[in-house]
Amino acid sequence: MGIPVVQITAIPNIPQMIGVNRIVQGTAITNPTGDPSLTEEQEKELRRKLILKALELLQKDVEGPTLVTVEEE
Amino acid sequence: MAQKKLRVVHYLNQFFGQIGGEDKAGTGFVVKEGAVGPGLALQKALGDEGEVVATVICGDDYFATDPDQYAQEGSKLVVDHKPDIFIAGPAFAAGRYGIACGAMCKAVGEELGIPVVTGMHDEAPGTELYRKYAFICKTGNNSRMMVEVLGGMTKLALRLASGEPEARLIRGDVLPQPEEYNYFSRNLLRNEYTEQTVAERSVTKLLAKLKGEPFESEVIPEIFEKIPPPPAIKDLSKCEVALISDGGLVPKGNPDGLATRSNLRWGAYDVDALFSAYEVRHAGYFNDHVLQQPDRLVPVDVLLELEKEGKVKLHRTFFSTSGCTTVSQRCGEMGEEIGAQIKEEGAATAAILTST
Repeated sequence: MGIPVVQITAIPNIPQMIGVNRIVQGTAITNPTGDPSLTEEQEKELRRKLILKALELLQKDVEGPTLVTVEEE
Repeated sequence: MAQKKLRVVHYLNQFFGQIGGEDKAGTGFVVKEGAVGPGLALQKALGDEGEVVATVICGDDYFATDPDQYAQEGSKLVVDHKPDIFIAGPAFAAGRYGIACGAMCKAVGEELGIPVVTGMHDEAPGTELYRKYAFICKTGNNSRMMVEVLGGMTKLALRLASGEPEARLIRGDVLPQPEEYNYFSRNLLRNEYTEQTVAERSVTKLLAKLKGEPFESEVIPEIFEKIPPPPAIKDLSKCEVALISDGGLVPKGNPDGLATRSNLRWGAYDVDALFSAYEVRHAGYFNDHVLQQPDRLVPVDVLLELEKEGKVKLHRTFFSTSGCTTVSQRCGEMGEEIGAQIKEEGAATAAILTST
């Protein structure tokens, strides 16, 4: 068995179709873990939230393709 | 002058090999000279063109404990008989037997490069596992059709052994049509000659569709295999996370020559060095946001912060590729290669993959 991988992407339906098991909704195609429209501080806060979400998903057992978004909190 | 008879080796399980039923499933490899059981029907189908010189038999349970290892062991026994053709089963819908037939075909095919043919039902686990490595003829789910199935397998095997190039294929490979010979596609794409241009064929099919008439698509959507989810991380503070991305971030100068589209390569780079001088090799998105701030693609800043806080460790090698119109088969291979390197390095126990 391999190691768990979490994919952060703005287009989650592609990994869902392929069968990626852990997926986090990223911000945009051109900047999955950032947002140039925010201030530097806000942007880093957003990135931190995304990474924490991804790490949370790595600690969860999943049955099949599972998508989470930061807004769910 | 009569042509030399082709030498055929046949693989069977303990049941068809006439050793015994489930109580004998733990039996190891046995080799019998000539044809055994269904091999008699195989011999009949071969007629004067070939001869079943030996039958390699193995118990289903014995083989199933380690198919890859036992396929190697069995393959040696097959090789000893210098076959021109290798036939396994057919296994129909059987689980262990199908896997054994598939694994034997794969091992013998790789060792000798001779035609390897077996037969299975489409729901047998061996079908999906081995159809890329062997010619697997389509069968029903029970052995009533043994003679007919062996007839089809023999026809395909003889066609392959004839070495006659396929006239419709531009490169002239010996690759008969899966539909014509009733076997599961091996996912081998080849260019072929056609009478009509793609425009003509498209319009013909569109008109058929509009009229509600039957037509066949030339593009078969890829069926993705299910990936069993690896278990969750138990203790995050002890976990080292590797970063991977298909967004094309590479050190300045692109040392591994990643292409901006249809890329087939990947690279492993030291995180600190990468962030001091970098470029983006990817023609599928607007690169400026990443060029301004690479953490928008490869979130190193936050992970170093979390490492300082003792929450998680960051693996200092970053794995980079560029996924823009790359065929999915190569994507899968690159994933396996990167996974193998991560395992070899032995430090990272999880990965975050970012995609554009």
